[in-house]
Amino acid sequence: MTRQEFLDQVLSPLGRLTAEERENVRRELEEHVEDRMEALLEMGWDAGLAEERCLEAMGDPVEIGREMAGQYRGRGWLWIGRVAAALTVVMSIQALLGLGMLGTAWYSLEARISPQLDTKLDWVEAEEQLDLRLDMGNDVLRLFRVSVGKLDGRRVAEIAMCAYDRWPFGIVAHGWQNCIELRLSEKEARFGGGSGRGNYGAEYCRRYVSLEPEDRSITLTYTRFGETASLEVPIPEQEEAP
Amino acid sequence: MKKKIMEHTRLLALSLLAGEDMYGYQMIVELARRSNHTFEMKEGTLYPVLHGLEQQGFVEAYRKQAPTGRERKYYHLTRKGQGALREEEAAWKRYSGAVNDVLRGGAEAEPV
Repeated sequence: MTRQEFLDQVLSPLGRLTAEERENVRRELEEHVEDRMEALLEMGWDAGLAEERCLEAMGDPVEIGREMAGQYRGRGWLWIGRVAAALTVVMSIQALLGLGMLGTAWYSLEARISPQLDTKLDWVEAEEQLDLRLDMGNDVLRLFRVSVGKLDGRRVAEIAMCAYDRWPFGIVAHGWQNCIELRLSEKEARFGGGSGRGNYGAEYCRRYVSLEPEDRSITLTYTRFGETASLEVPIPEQEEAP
Repeated sequence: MKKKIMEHTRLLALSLLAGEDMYGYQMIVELARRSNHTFEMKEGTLYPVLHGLEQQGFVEAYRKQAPTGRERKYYHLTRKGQGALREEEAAWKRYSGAVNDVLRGGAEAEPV
């Protein structure tokens, strides 16, 4: 048996060790043989015989390899532990994302069943619940309330609307609010602005229009990617006291 | 029996390192010298024992130039290893004491 064969046999069951650890084992044993060889050569041994004697003194390489592998037996569990820890992190992140998706699904459902958005008017003169819908590509725009009242001392109409994906739990396209224009009988709305809330499931928004006493309806126009659609929104009137 | 040899090698390795930091070949030579060549084990079997001790934190390894001028892997007994040595030494003394007691008792029991 040559020194190389001896080392190869020792190392063959050490697959569980890192390359660096295997190299350390190989180097250490080789150094041992080298020291032993040197001692024998100094005593006048023939090089070939000396190596043979050294390897014989080392013992059975298969057994040394097996014993060595046994010392690193805990390694399998170490790796399993590491993989388990990594998986836990990944799954925790997924769970958190999952919670986010639940929020999305909830908004998406709520917007199509019972949209919720409070009014920001300081004082409400008249209010009407509506259900006007407009297709915007894959999304649906739903106008669900028009209120007339006072905001910052001005008489305004507040239009409450939301948008959601055509499919339940789908994701609504962002930015639709900027594609909406409100007009009062051919005049552009005199009071813009708005606020809202939302997530990927649905987005809500409020828009305001300053009203003159003669105004009766608002035209909502949606323009995007060259498509135009519009809705006529009646302005609710204060009910006359009987 | 093989397990026993491993355990004895463990104790011998720990006790050799209690004196000074050594590398493998040096330990084998020192062991043969101190035991008057009684412990002439297969030299390669020392290394699995040393690596086991290292995995358990009983010894630490580092590379240093040996008196021969070549770099070698030295082992150093840690504080944890010193504790293990004390325990194993006490266990060995109990064991060898018991063997001695039995041998002495056996001699006394012999018919006169």
